[in-house]
Amino acid sequence: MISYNKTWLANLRIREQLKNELKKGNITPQEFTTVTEKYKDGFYTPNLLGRIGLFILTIVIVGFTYALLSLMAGSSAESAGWFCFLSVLSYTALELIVRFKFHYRSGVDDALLVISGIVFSATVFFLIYGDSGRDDKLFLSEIAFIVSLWLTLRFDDTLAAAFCAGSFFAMILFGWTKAGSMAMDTAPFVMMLGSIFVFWRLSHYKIKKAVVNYQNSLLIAQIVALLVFYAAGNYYVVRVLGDDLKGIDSSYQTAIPFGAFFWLWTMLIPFVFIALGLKQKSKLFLRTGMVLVAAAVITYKNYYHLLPVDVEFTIAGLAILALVYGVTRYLKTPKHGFTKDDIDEDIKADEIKVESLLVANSFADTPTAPADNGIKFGGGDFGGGGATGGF
Amino acid sequence: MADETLYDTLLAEGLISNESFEKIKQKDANPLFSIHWEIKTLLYVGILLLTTGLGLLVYENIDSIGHVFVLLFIALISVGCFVYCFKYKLPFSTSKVNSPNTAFNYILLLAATSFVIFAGYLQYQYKVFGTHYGMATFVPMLVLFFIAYYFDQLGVLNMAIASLAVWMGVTVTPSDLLEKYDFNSTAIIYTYLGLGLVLIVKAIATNYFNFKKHFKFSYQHYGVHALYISLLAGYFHFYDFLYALLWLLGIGIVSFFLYKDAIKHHSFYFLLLMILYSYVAISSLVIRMLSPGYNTGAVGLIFMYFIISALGLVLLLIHFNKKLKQHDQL
Repeated sequence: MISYNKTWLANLRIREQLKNELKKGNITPQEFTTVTEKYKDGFYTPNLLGRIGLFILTIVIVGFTYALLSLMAGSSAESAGWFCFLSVLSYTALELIVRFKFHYRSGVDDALLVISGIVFSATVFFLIYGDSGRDDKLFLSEIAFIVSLWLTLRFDDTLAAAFCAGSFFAMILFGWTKAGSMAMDTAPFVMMLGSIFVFWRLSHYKIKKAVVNYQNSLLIAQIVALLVFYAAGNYYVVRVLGDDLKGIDSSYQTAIPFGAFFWLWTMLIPFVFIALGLKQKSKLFLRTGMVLVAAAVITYKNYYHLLPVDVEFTIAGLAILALVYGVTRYLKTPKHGFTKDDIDEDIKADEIKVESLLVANSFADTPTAPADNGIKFGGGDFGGGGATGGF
Repeated sequence: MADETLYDTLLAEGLISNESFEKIKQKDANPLFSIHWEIKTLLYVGILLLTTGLGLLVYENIDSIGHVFVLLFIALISVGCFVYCFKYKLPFSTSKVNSPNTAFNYILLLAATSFVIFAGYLQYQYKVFGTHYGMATFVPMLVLFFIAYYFDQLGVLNMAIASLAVWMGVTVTPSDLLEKYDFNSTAIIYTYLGLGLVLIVKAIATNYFNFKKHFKFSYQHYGVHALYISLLAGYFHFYDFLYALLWLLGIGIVSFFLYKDAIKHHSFYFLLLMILYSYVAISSLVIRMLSPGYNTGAVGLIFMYFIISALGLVLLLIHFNKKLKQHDQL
């Protein structure tokens, strides 16, 4: 299903894995070089600067090609069908570039994917609903889901995967709330259940060999599922989205059903995530939880004010710094399998005191989760941009 | 998802030694979970919140605290940090000197920043330099350059270069810059052309005299941007005169030398800058030649120009990227 050469992708993974071992000092540079020589790939992947440059240039090329072709086509270019045709054209270019020029995350393929995906989804929607002026959100999210699912399957693109997961949850939401006011009130709980289910299935499939080429996309989908899980019970989201779907003006301070429950959810879930992340040693939960703490604070600040802003900032800053100081002191030597040092980078393994680790490990009997050091968790791939208000 | 059977395969193929294999197995049996990133993020957030909160607190209570107290406090921070830095610094050398520990760099940066804030505060509140804005920016600049070289700190060097730009701008047109914020005047263009030249000369001199060679990138980076931007600004400023072509010629000369330098030092970054700025210059010339007609044909030609030239640039970038791949660096 994936359009890249699978052997090369496997070789890339091997090299990435060995690079980690090299950084940890487990293998010698000579060994790393010989392995790199053996497991080569033929992809064209420039460095980050080159990728950004090629991305911008490709956008320029595609934009002006669209404009020139429309100019030549004359009045027939004013229909949505014409733009649909153009998007198919750019998608064909994407397939050809990947197949014959072996571009892989080169900026060219990123740009073509973003453009053709967005233009195609938008024009299909216009083709069907263009004249009636109807605004069917369910249908729009269905189109977005199908298109982004296809792009994800073909290219394992993180942006497409994020769209795919997001539109899937949008489908559930819009589909369910169509059923009336009873459905409207239960929608948060349906979304919670839906996201738990999705996350559970994703975690189940992620370790299967068959999806080894889709690790990036699956991780992104997991993040989206966790965010939706939280948002489904976030007080602000429930209130504003609920009013919006019911067509009520949200400036009125209407009480929402189960208000206390949603407040509890808003405040507790981030810490539950962090606790889970620490217990299972999962960066996914830990970092999502950290981001969501900020979301919880902002939600609270939106409705209540405890102290003047300057005092709040000062106290919060002091509290966080105290926490950092405490954790740093506590982890001076690694404890319970945690270290404050950056093991992925520049740290010689000898500097981390292994003895204390072994001692700590014999006390801890928690099964260790699969280490996901190999997976990038920076979200740097989101930088593609240009995909905001596309619809 | 790490492939655990990979190392068995590699061992069987003889690509890794027995020793390394054992090392990996032993380490992976007891994996360490690093929360380095999390701690660092929290540290940043905490410092940001604390400084913002304190700043707001002082701002709102300035009447009861008084300027003298605030100034003294800032001075105390600065002096304290400098004392630490002088005490723990490694001996001076004309080549790169590493910082003695990780905290050193941050403390030095804090010292330099609080010094600049101190000087600015003093001028703003008490007008120490009166209306001699040139002097008010010149003194901090000198101090910053001294710190940058003495302690070998790139961050402070960047601050010093920025203050050099401010000083030059302020000296030429103090009133214009402060009151009208007018960038279109010729004086500004010539000043920043001069700034660019000065920085480039510094970059070359740094390399030639082998004095703090690793500072070259910063000088060249700011110098190239200043040169290109002022040349382009000059071109558009004199757009209606024949004199404008002289500015384009200047861009051509800069591009030529930058190209040679980038190839010599395997710098993809400067190559990219060269290509993009030259492209802007050439494109503006092409549009100028094609646009007098203002008919559909001309618009079509302009579209075609952009498609073909951008395609050419893509191929060029790919070519250079492959050429410099062995020396992948900024």
